[in-house]
Amino acid sequence: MSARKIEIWHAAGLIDADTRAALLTYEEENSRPLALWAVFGIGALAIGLGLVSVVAANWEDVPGQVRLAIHLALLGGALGAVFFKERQLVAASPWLLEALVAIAATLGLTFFGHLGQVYQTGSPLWMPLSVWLGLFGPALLLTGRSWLTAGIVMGGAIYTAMEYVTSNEALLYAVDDPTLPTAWFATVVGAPVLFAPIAAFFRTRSTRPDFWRRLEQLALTYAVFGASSAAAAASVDVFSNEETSVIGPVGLSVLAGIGVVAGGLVALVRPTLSGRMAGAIIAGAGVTMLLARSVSGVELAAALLFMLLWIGIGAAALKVGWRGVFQLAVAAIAVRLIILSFELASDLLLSGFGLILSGFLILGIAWGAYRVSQQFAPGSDEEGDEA
Amino acid sequence: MTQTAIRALFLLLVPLAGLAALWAQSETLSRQGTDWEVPIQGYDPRDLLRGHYVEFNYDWPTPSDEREDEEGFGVFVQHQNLCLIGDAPTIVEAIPFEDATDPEFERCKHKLSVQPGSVYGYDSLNRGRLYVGQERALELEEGLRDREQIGIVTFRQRDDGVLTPLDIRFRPLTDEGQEERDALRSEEAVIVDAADAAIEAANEEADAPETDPSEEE
Repeated sequence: MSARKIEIWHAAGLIDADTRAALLTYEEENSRPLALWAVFGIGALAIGLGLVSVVAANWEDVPGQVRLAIHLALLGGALGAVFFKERQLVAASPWLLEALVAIAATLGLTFFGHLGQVYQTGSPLWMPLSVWLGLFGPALLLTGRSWLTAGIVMGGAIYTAMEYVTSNEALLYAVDDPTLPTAWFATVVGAPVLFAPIAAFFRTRSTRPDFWRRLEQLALTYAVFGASSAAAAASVDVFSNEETSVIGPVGLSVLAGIGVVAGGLVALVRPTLSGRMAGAIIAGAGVTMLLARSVSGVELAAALLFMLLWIGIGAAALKVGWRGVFQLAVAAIAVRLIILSFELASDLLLSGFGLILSGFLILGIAWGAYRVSQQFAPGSDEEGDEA
Repeated sequence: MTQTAIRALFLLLVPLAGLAALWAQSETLSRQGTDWEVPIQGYDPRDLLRGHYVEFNYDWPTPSDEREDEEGFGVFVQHQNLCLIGDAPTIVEAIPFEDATDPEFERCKHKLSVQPGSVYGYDSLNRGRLYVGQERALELEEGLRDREQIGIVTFRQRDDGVLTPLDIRFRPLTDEGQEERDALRSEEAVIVDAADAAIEAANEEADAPETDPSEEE
């Protein structure tokens, strides 16, 4: 808010002289010299980029061992600062620590690539990723403050799981009885969901509730995304041709089991209303996984399954008061309804009259969704307690 | 364990000691083995430089009956195991084996086997890559394009059959090599000529019906 505006309000008689003085003092104390910060930032960025270019240009002349030593020393510096100066850094700005932890994790990951370059070795991506997760996961969980580190943990876990399964899936076709390996692969794919109960447990017991809340949200999102994808895939009949694969009957049962167990645990360790609803959503996502197979190829049933999942999410959001989640659920159901109308009557698009009809249908659904959102959406987003 | 000890363990010891151990392992493994030399060809002359490495095909001196079919045409073999014979760094002959459990292969002194887990997987005895800096990569790319010389890769062969490329150098073609190359070129020329002739004939044929009706009129 600029001082000019305050003067105008005073002149218009909206605020008296005392309020004006108070506002001006407050603004002065709390204002941030953004322009100055921007100049500092640009200067620091230029110096940083220059250093990187100087190093990059002479990269070839530096022996590999020296390069690796520098890399490890930088990492040691970042980790050392986090370990010895955590309290001071957080006092200055929680984001400083968050950024430092993220930088350390990135330096750790790039070290694997650097090793491969110096020693001319290579291995499938899941190997360095899983070793990295093992070495840096605990550090991230111990120091993370917000969504950045939570995202690195969750993203790293999901990426590692996917890489592992895709690069080893061929094994399923090479063994006589693929039941056990399939169950194992599905366990790996579903494992990131287990961060939800872990995060739910620490959320109320840690000094960093924001980090654990974000982690729980991300795990829930992963479960819901998986279940929605499964329900969407069912309408184009993906599952009937899948017997020996992670999305075969065995794999889906395992994924469903993980969802139900994770959801139950979330409700158990965080027995508030929001915890129970989050648990119910995760368990519901698990059940959807299993049902997706039985409705595979039946367009109407697949659409109903998808909408049922999101109606459940919407109902949970309504009960707890998650405004954003409720609106998202209404939007998801509306979009699915529109897609369903085209699936069931695809020839509508082929005639002019049909086109007009579908236009009205889309407008009607959109208007209905908007009205529902307006009418029923919880008043305000309880930021501190959102799923 | 106290809180501080746990934090020291997971914040400092595990990440740093873990990466240092991996480094030490890479270093020890890279020192083991015998150094050999093998001629190579650029993998794809239009796209040699991929980021920070050069990609190439190995030209193993396998017995001639393994390289050509009955009519003398070259065949592509995806090598699974190779037994190197010769005095390092000179390979006199590389004998392919389908099966790593072949007793004859097991007796071999210098073994190479495909590494299914490596970047090239089951193709890792046919293709390879060498990580180099940008400048060096451009140099190597140029060198591999030059038909008057051949690239030689020095690689380290470990007793467990792992191959690690170390360096690339160039050697001018010997007279024999030049003859071989020229023969290959004339073969190529024959094929290109034949193809041109075929295209011409096809074009003439295609033209023919168009001209015919007009003549009839």
